[in-house]
Amino acid sequence: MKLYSLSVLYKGDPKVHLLKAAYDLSSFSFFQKTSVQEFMTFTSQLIVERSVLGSRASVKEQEYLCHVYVRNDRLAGVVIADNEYPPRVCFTLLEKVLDEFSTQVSRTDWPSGSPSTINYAALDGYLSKYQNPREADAMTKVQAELDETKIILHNTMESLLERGEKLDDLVAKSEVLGLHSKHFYKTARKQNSCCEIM
Amino acid sequence: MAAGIREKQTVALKRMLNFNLPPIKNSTGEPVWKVLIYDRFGQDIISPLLSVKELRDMGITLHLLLHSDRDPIPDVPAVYFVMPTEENIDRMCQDLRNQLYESYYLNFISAISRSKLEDIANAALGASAVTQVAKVFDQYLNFITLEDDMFVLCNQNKELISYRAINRPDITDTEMEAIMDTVVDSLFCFFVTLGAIPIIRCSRGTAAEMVAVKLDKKLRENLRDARNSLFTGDTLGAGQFSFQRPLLVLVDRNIDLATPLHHTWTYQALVHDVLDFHLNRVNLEESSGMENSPAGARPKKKNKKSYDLTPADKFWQKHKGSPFPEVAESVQQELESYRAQEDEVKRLKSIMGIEGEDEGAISMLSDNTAKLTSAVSSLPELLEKKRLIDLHTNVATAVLEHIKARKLDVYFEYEEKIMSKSTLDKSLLDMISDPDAGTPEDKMRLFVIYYINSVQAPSEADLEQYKKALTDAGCNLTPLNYIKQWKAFAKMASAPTSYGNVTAKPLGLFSRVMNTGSQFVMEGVKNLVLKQQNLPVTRILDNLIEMKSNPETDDYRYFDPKMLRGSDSSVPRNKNPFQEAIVFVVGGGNYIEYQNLVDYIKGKQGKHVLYGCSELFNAAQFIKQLSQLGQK
Repeated sequence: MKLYSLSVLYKGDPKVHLLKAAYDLSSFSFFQKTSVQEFMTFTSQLIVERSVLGSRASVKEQEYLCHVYVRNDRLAGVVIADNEYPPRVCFTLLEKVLDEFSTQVSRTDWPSGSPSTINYAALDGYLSKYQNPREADAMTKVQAELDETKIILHNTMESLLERGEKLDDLVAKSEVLGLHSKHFYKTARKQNSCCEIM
Repeated sequence: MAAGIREKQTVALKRMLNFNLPPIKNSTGEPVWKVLIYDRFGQDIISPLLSVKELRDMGITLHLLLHSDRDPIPDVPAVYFVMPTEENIDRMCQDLRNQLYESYYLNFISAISRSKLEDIANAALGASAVTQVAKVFDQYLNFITLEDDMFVLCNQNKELISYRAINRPDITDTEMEAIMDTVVDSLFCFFVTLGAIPIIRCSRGTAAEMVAVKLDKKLRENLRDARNSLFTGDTLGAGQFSFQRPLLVLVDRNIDLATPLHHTWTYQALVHDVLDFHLNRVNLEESSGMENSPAGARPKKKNKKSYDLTPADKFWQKHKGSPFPEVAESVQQELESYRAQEDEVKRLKSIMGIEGEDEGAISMLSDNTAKLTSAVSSLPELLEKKRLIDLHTNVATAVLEHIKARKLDVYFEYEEKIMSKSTLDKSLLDMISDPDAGTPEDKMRLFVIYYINSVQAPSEADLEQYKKALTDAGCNLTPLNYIKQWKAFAKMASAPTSYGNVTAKPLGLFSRVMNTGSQFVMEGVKNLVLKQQNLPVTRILDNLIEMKSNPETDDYRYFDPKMLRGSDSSVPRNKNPFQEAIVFVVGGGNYIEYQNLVDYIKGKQGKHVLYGCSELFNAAQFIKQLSQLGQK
């Protein structure tokens, strides 16, 4: 049961950008860490881009589940976890984090913010604390509220894309992915497999 | 690179043993008697290259380990060959203080730091032994050559740079730096000994890239250092006629995890897989087969025997890459030809007994004398041949026993089918549940190869089934955790066409062996013929050495230490195909890959390839590392 990343983003029009993120890459080897981190950022951004305001969704890819919550005020959060981690806890966490973020960081900074300019340091703490989902037990009240809200479940990343859009093109165009990650994705794809880290 | 690396390293060692003077040709008289002191690193480097007899020929009367109790031998020079570690330096200083020898020739396997050099100088001063320290040399020999065209980095402390050490998730930056520095130091020594500056190509984002960057930097710094450059004209050697520079291909073990686990069929790789074989020495436990012991039911006594498989062993050199049935048959043939020669000698002996009885015999005599002379002079050769035949009979029998007990031929064939994506005649589940075939480890190897090569990961239900079957068979499932994660990240293993088909030939070579009543009864063992196909590492080499365009290697970085300014490009400046290449696998290699490269380069006229790896492991050792990595 593991959480890999926790990020806060701003769903601008048309672009989504990352405001702040925390990653736990301790299960990846030394040389995998950079690529994995880049792909997680890329995925988080993509998911938020394709999600409607005021929605919650879970996107399944291989061994990972990406949970996203986009608020009506365009603030969004993404948690990337493994298949075993209870999704409810993720949404509780997202609710909590976004609430806190919006009080600590002024709204005017959101549209133009980036990880280096935004002053919010609690993400790393939350990520490590919530590695153990029982931390969320105190939040039963919020959980009950969440039960009523609808969570869209996507089985693959592809279902997020618009008709005719290809994941390959998005990868190639991405500014977040380094050269190596892009090349790795390209060759993995060519050999007839999914980009399997997602 | 007209001479192989083995010869170059041997020449360097011999020069060192000759007090770092070039050997005087046609020198008569005895060599200067000396003592050789080494540490375990030095021992591992010397033992595959020089036998005790050869050491004697160079005048070494005594060879001792550094960290042993040594008595003073006051009138003999001592040649030291050690790594410049704290411990070793301390011991050497102690030797100086204790006035053990007449003069000291200090040779360091890899370069010694200035501060340590000062420590020795201080100790020498303190012991008033400065005049006795005759020479201090950096030998740059920090690698082990096993074959003319194969080398490994080290044997002692190889866990420090093992596959596991490089790929474990909890490694810190400083630890990774230390590992990379160790690897680069050895590679640097290798190129100094080779006397060539390579053009380096490596894949991006892997440990191989880190090695490449550091090696490029180190070579570059050394070239620019006008006073101390190790690559000046005289070290390149007189025999260097190639104007082309060699290609160094740095690959990471992670591009192909199936090959180290593969069950193999060629002689050398089999010996490494099933027997205790390292640094060219194989250790066998032989039961002396005392079935009719007078004491009744006494257990068979096991003798331990060790054999060195050296370049002088003609049979080994000829057959180490041959498929096993061919080896069995060849041993049989050698035995027959030996017996024929032995009979010839015996016949001549008996003929000599009838001299003088017959006039005709006298003329026959002179004929026979000639024959006898030739027989006598060929006697040492004959004895050597017998020794080798015995050696290989024992080794091959030991291998055969393993093959039969574990049904390794079945595993080999099945895995080849998996890797070449042909149809499987038996289900994987059947293979795993079969109680007669293979140890739990064999089954685990098979399953991991299947998992690595499957295009789609098996469904949850199937996976559970396999796991249960494996556990029932006694397997440890921890390697699977690591492989799952590796697969989720790595590129897919080789393209479908890279492994060929294997056909089981029913008769042919086999029948001869059977019919001649050979002791190699390969009944029930399939006679499998290898079809030559390229493993992933060989494929990569092929692309790079021939400058072929291929998406797999187009993105490889290009380093040329001789260029004034480095760049991050992938575009090679040199457009011609290379004649010589060195393939180095960071993270570990094996004999299967080595053999595949050797076979590949045989088909290319005038090209040479060397194979090196940071460590050499067989499948059992690799599974163990995977298991450690898979433990949470």
